[in-house]
Amino acid sequence: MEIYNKIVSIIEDVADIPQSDINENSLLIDDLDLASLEILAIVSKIEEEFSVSITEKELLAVESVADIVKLLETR
Amino acid sequence: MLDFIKIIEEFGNMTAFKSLAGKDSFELSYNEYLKEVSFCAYNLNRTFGDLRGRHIGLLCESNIDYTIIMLALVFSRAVVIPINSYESTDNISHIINDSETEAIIIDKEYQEKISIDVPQYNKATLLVHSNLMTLTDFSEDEADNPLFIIYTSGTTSLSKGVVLTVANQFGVKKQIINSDFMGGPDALPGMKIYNNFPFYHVAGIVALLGSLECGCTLYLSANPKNILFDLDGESIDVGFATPAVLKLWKKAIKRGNTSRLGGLNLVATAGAKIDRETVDAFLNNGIRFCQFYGMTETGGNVTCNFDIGNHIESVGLPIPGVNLFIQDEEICISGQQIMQGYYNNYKETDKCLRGGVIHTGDLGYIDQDGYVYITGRKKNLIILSSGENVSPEELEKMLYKCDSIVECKVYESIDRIVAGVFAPKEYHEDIREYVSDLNKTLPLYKRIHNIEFTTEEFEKTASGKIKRH
Repeated sequence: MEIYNKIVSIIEDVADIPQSDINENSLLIDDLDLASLEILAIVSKIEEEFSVSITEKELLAVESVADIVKLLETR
Repeated sequence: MLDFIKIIEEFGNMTAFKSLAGKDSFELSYNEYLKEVSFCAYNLNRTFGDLRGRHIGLLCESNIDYTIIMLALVFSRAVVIPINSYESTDNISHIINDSETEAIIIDKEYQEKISIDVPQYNKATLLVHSNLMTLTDFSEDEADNPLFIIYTSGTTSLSKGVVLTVANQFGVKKQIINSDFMGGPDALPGMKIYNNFPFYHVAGIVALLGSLECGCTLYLSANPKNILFDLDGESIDVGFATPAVLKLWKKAIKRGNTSRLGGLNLVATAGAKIDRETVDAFLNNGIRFCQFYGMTETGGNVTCNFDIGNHIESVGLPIPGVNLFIQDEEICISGQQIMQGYYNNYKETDKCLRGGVIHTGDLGYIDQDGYVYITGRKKNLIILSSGENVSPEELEKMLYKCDSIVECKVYESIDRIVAGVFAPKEYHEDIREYVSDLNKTLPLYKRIHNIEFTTEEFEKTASGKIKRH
């Protein structure tokens, strides 16, 4: 849950989307309508906060908030 | 030709670059920077021998190292093919084949993007401190030699290589900032400019050369993804950024995070049209705004608008050396900086470049003060706020591989890519899945955000083509 909360607050911070509009199943493109640059900025902040590195291949497979959570849980 | 090396040598110990990477940030003076380029030129010569006229690709992260290698290649007289690292593997193969690239200088992490047989050289080996190579400026005899082949998405599905010559980039001193606007010519040396235009894009190349020619300090993110966080705690004067970045900055202002803009007092943008709300967000916060207009084919920007308050919708006045006029509503451009043509593609060149004039495909007009306005596009091309051009036909071809799609047309709506699809209702779910899978194979900027289904076929033109508008 802690990972999820952190991700949601990063999305809110970068893309100015209220946390109440985001849930675990939110799709980054279809639901949150994030622009490609917003996704990159979010990933960059996640990499910094979680001290991880996310490859382009991993990023391509990410569709939803839950996908990011799963990706970080495996680290 | 411009004595570029001589000019920048004179800036000596002034700061040329600051690379932003948190605690690993560092600065380089003009002297130190030129030394790095000279080391690299020596290493290139050791690796390749004489590079004159040889086609070398560059597929690296767009940061300070990129600029060192690019300038070392340029002053070794190679023809540089800068490759967009976000491109798909297939498009990168096309670029390498089409441009007849004989070798690629590459960042380790991009190696898996190359699927064809071409010699690759790790960039790190070319940046080691070895011996210095003397860098010499271009002579008049070299004016028409190709310098860059930059690939750009056209209206057809395959990108085309724009050939820019020595004269296009070193013909005259660049005017990236109107010095009158910033307090006179003396204000430019030492001015701190943050640049986020990638160096595989002509806007990045112009920002690099223009900044160095004026003695400015160029701030670059070591990792360009960090655009939103790198300037926190820095103090800069000007931000060069794509409209997409400006939208992110606008959100940062709205949320009270203005420190993320590094205290800049001018933002300058190009690549796509910017909305009024974004412009106002900056102006209302005491940040001046400048809009450039140009394309790869015109060798970079051909207009700039420093008076956005009075001409808000305009892309500005033509810059010195550019002749801009309207023919049949289309913006046409001539001047020393326009491209030589598309590489090995006479048919496409003839469509765009006739009698030394670039037919931009943009529709527009010039007002009584000489300010240029863009009203639409003649050609079918999506231009996103990220500055990326996307060919609708390329995406439509991919969509037609799904048998359930009877007809489709791809277009832009509110800065997002939308696919209009005609198909029987029972196939809509399958098509959604197909598009979702397709998106996973596409670079982020090319992804289809929405599908608009219709159960009636699209309206057609007299020749039977689907009507775009």
